[in-house]
Amino acid sequence: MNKETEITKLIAQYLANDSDSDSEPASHELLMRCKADPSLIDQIAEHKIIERLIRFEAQHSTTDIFTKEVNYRLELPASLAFSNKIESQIKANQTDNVTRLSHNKNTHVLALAASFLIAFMLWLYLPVVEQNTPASAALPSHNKSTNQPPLPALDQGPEPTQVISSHNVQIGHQAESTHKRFSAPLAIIKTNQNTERKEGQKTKHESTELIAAIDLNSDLLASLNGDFEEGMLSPWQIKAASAGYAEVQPEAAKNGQYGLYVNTRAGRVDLALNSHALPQGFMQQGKLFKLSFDMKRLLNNKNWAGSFARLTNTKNNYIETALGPWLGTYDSGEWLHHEKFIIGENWPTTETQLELIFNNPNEEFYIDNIKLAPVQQTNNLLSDRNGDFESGKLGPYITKKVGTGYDNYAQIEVTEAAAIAGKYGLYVNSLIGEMAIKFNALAFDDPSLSKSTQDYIFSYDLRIIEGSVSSINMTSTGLQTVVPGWPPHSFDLSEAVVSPSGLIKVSVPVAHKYLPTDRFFEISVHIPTQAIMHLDNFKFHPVELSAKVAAKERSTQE
Amino acid sequence: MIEENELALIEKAQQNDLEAFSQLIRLHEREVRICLAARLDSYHEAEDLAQETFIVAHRRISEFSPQKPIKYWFRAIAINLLSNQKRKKYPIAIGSSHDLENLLNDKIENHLTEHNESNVASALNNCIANLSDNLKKLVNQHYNEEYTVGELTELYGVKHSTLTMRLHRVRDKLRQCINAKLASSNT
Repeated sequence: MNKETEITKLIAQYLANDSDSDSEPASHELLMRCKADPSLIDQIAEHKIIERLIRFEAQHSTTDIFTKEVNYRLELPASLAFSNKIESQIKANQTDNVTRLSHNKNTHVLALAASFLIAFMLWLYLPVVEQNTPASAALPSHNKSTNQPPLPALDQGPEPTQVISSHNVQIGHQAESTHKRFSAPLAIIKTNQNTERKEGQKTKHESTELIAAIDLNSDLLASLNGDFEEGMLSPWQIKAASAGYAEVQPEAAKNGQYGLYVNTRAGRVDLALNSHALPQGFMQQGKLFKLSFDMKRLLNNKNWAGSFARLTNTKNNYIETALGPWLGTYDSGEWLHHEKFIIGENWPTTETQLELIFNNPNEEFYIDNIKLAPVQQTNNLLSDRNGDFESGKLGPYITKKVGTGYDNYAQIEVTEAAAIAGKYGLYVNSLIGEMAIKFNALAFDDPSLSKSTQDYIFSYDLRIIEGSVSSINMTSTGLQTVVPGWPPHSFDLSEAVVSPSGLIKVSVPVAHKYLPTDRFFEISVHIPTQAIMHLDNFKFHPVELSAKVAAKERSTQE
Repeated sequence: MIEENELALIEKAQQNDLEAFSQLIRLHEREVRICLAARLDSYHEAEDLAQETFIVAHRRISEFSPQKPIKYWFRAIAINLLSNQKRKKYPIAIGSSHDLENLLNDKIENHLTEHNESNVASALNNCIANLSDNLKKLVNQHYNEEYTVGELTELYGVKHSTLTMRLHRVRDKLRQCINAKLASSNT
């Protein structure tokens, strides 16, 4: 190979920047060559500019859309903007501090003197401390007793966090898979609250004060052709990885004039509502959404249908909600209504997209009425029944046994160190034996439960310290779910499946049919795997569609 | 010389007329977006910053002197936001790829200062139009439909190195074409 060809290959390899290849050796070799021949740098720089501009020309939105997007942000009421909210909180805190100090003149003088003293001490000792302190010690610590939680930086959205949500499945069946590519920063429960408080218990929806400027009371896809009534696919897109095709057809309608026909005879079809179309900023801590759609499987295939739906975000790191719902085997020719609950977490406020993916080849589907509707979470039944362990004891509502043959052998203690929010949490060591606990009938003794016509959600936070966790959650009425389902059957820190913090939100939808008719109701949590973990914030609350969505659904049904 | 229309729009925008400011965005968004897109590897990041540019401009429009060309003001805000972002977001890293990247970034900045990125972009559009259908298809698949080199390798049934070379040749063709067009426009 002559020298010129060799250099060209090196440049080509460097610029390909493909995940399949390791670019570091090419970079090193190229750097050496560039030092010998500086004109090469010009050449590569021009290539880079061309690449970037081609990408821009290919992907950029129109002037109209761009202007609308900017206008939309400009028209935000100041009170709703995230940064303004944080800014006002900081100002309020500062004002509060200043006011408190100015109440007492002596205090003021003392504070001034103390400030000078501290400044002098810092000046004297800081260089020594900086030299001797290891990097990890300089990291901000999360002090539970402080009343001032760290506020996010003004120019950043909330930290992305991780959700592992479950899907109702019978034990032994395949459920949705879980994150595999997740590499987002440390999962957190709250961003802006006093950690002494329990989320959603002392003050309803407190953690959702930082509202993005979108209407979180109505179907987010309301004007985005989720019912395909515009007679065309836009703004939905078929992604490049698709080998099959999808088109809007009158025959595919369940309601109205049009629906979507998906054909995977040639291969998979990835349908997406990208971040330019989908409202952004709705994925917030404390919110709950229901993704629903009607689907009809056309071919008489008896195997697993192989489709799922999810939200993804690519702003900083790739994050996604748990997949689901998977479509199990069922007879073709029937319209089925699918629902998936998505727990809101603080995702970045841009670059969130919705995906519906049809993996199995040789399938045909009709799809209609895709909705992504916010649901209200109210009436946490466990809020005053020690679901947060804030009594500092296990209390009368939890029994250390699931049933006959399901005794608890794990070490279980309510400790301060195990708190995920608030002061106390449940420390569990199942290395010495399986954990089997249940919220007993006393915890669910509520007359409204047996009369309720709503679905419920049982959820809790779980932080893995060591080992792997797979939990089996059961109701006394027969519902059994495994979290996580399939694969890999458990979260294992050694495989870095979960975030470095090991924090997971487990969420188990309990359909209305599983609620008790005779007031006797229990939910058990059985962890047969070996791990040391913390559990906290057990909740059981009804799922209510927001008022607007419920009204609309009622009118559609009528 | 600032057009009267633009002057009027600026003055209206300074009196909180959002419609007038929207008109200004329409007039100048492309330049700002190209300016950022040419300087960032991530298209999405560039678009975010472009939006942010106009948000900041709107907040500060009252400080702007209407007699000056507003396009340079927008551009200056964009470049400032970009350098802030780079300072805050990107870690200072070591290793050959980062050394090379630093060198490249300096060179890219020089190149774009010398030939305005909007001129490069319009030359690029002309040059792409002159590519053969096969090459246009390859460019579209890689840059628009976002097929990775690995995926394209499978699609075309060729070796990884063959495909990277093919892409390189297309870019090189475009590079020569753009340089020729820029040179002729300068003379």
